[in-house]
Amino acid sequence: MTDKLTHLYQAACHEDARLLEGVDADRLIDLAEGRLAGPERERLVEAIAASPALAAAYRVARASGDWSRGVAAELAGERVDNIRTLTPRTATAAPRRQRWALAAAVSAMAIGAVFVSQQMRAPAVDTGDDVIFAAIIEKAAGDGIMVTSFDAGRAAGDDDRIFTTRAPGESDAIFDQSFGNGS
Amino acid sequence: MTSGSDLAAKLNAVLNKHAARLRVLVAQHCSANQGLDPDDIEQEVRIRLWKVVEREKNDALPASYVQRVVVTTVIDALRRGKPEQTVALPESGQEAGIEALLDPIGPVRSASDGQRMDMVRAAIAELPSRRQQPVRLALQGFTPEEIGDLLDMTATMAKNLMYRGLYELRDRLKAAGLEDIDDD
Repeated sequence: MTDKLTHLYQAACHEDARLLEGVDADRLIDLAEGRLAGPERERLVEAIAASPALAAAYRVARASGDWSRGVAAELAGERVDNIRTLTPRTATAAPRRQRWALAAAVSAMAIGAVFVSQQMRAPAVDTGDDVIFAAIIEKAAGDGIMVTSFDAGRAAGDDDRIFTTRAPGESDAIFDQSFGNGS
Repeated sequence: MTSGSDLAAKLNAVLNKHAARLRVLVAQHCSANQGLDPDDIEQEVRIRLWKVVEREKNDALPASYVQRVVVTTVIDALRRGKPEQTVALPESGQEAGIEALLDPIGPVRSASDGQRMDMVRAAIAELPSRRQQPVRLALQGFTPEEIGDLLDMTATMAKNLMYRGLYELRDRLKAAGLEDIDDD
């Protein structure tokens, strides 16, 4: 069915010449390279569907991308050795490999970015804690909490003031009995 | 600094190496239905690139520019290959068929060809709108994968719409009296 119908349909595309006349090569390349979107893309696809010549031009635009990149790279002196050894099979596989390499590089960069950010954040937290702890210790020392001794303020040999409010052997002022001096 | 002749020689050497692939590319996509000569296209691309290199005195052509040269060369060749749309007036005493004058394709096609084409156009226009574009693109020779890319849908969906549309189109054309559309 398809061959006869194809010829009949292509012969029926009476706007072929007009559509070809109005096409912009840059837009056709943009479409072939996946850079065209929106109404402009829809109009161009519509035109391609209605024009066998435009469909042929689109196919060439699509297929000539790799060829053009190869020629440009070799003219610029890049990857000459690789290009020389390119076969049709490797030529089609090369962009696929480049996409994988790009994806791997992006993934590595993302992981690296997370790692580096964590590394940069960790010392900052430690330093902060150290500063806080140091401040507490310093403050405590300054306030005398840590350095104040129960012996401070009484002469050597004096009894503890707390427990020396009564003479040895006296009864407790509150309970009026001896607790044996705590023994 | 590289001289102009050195640049031209370098471009020639590079193009000599890649010329065969360009000819194959053009032959695959253009020569069958459009009648383009791959050798002519390759020569034209070579000349245009050579002119640019000579003018710019720079051999660092961007790939996008090289691709643009190829595509514009092909489009220009396709435009040159299109038949004139004007119809010569009949000489005195010579009758021109009314169909020949009205047929936008040109006078070379018979009235029955014109009727068959009208039937195909009408039958496609009667298809469900979702199937029309996949059918048109399939009849331009695109694969389901290519149709999917163009219409921004999966290849499976494009294939489904394409085949359903083609079968429906065949049934409509047969119902309209176009019996000989099946391949032998």
